[in-house]
Amino acid sequence: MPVFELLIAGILLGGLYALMACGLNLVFGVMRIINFAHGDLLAVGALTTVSIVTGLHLPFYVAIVVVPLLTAALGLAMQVLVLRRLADGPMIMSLLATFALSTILVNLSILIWGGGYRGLPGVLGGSVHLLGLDVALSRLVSFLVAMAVTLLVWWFLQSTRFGRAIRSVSQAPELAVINGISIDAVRNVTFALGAAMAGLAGVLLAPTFASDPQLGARFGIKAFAVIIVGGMGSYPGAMAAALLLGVLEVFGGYWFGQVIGSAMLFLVMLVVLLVRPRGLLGMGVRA
Amino acid sequence: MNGFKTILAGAALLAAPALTLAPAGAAEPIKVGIALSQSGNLADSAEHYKKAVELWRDQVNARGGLLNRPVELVLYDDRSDPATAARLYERLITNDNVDLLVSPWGSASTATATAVAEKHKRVMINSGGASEKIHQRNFKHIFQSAAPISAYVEGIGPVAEKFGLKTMDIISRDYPAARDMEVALNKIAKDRNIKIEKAEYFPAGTSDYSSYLAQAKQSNPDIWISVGYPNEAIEMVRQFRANNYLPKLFVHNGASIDDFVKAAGKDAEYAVGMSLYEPVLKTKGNAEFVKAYKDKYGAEPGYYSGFGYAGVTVLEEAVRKTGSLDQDKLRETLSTMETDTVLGHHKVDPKTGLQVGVKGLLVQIRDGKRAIIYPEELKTADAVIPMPAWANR
Repeated sequence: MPVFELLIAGILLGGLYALMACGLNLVFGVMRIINFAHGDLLAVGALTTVSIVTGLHLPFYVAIVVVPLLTAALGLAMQVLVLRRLADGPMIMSLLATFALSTILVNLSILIWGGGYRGLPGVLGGSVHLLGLDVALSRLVSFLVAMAVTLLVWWFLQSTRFGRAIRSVSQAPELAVINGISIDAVRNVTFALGAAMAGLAGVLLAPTFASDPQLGARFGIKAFAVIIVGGMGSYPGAMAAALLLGVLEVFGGYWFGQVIGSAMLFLVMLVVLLVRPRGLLGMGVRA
Repeated sequence: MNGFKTILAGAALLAAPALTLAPAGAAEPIKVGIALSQSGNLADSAEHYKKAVELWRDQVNARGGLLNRPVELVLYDDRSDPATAARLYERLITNDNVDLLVSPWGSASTATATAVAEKHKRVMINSGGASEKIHQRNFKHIFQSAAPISAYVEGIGPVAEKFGLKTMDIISRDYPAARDMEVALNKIAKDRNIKIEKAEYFPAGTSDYSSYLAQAKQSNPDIWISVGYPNEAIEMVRQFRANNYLPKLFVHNGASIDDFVKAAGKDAEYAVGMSLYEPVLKTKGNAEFVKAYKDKYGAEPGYYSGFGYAGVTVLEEAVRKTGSLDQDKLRETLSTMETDTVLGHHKVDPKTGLQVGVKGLLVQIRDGKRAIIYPEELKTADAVIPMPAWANR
């Protein structure tokens, strides 16, 4: 059994999952919003990337810059027009609202890009020879970016002034207000940032996978599994969970076939929900 | 009130030329009933099927109609739902009194629609259901013009033999068509002495093939064959490339869809797709069909359109041969009739109505286009097998 090869494949797959989960985690951690439209923002990101690179013939790095800005703007619009108005309602309200936004995004994407599949031929397509293995270049890049983004967000929340403001809004909103922090501003920035991360994940998924307006349905569920296992709102937890799930999926698939491999993800999620509902390193859900 | 009368008079004036254009002595049109998906998950593909049928209606009417009567389509939307399809065919038969029936698009709706037609002892052309199970129910009135599932893969045997390929892995999306295809492949493998080392099914939504790639790198199957959706074909070749792996022959039905070449670009080269219809096919009437289709819709017909057109071609031929719309006589004609359509030679098994004439094609992506590599008599290029390694391209 090629243990080392499977391990690398699993870790790289986990990197993709971490990337997808990052923005979802931020939005939940700060705003307590479970964003069902996250995967669809990711799809918009991937499809826009394809349009920029194959339609407008611009270099890939243009997409890396432009697409997160675009999805951030989209996210900000969602927040300002819809979610802000529901901020004080019960959690189910924002949950249903993001579900509706998800459906709208999917159908808008079908109107814009059509129902077919697109891809990015020629971008990060090959492999690099590392440690005696052929490692997929696109996955290596995604993995490194996922690591960097996770660390960056973590550092931002822990060590910057604005990061501390964000944390205080999520942990003690009343005290934050007394200290002159604008809750609205913090929430707007957070949601836009989360959406930008979805866009970035979309940019980096586009070279590996086929992109279509319903991409979100295929990947969104995995991002949820990652943050449930890792602990909602915890960045180190999500990173650890993403890598764990990636490795489990690949080994499970190798030993028992992909049906079991894919099921592993959800089995672990179930066990975590039953045994340790707050996740590996999470802060848990407060009512 | 006056205005209303003017409108009525205007309408009568507009209608008058239409009436005089109808063939002499044939006021009553022949009604052809079809329910097909205009909404739901099959709507995209059924649209092409519908376009081909509508093109045929215009052409047949321009030729003076059928039995000297104009042809009229009665179309309903089955919403991609087999139960709705059954209800709509009930309505077409008992309420709309249509003269002829054509099947819906897709095996699921065709399975229920054919059951309704059989119950009413009405002839139906199955031009949209590939599943062979449709014809394993002792029905007497259903005749398949579509290619059955086994036709999709029939080229694998001869091609494997020609290029000395001995082992095969089936790695497929888990859905009924793939299971049917495994049955067909097992038979081919037995006849041609090919070893199927593995038949693995992955759940819908799978996008990562790392574990299969690791296995294949060790076992090195000659053939990696898969049935599923185009995105899976795209992701497989991209991941082959990213892992510097390639089987000698990669076959996927998704490789014969236009999206595959567009989305996978150069990585798509040399991949082989199962196909049943190509615009370049030199079958009877195909060049004319492709031209008329392009003129009317501005795009080449795909295989969905080919299926639709073949179905109504068979229907028209059967009615002309029979000279009437009598269902019993039509049934007799159809059970032995052979003809040529854009799909190829049409012939059914008289007992079951199963299509046995149409041959499946294999196409290989060459310079961004699909070249036919099987069957020999239709090929437009010689197959390149084994596929050249990534480093040598």
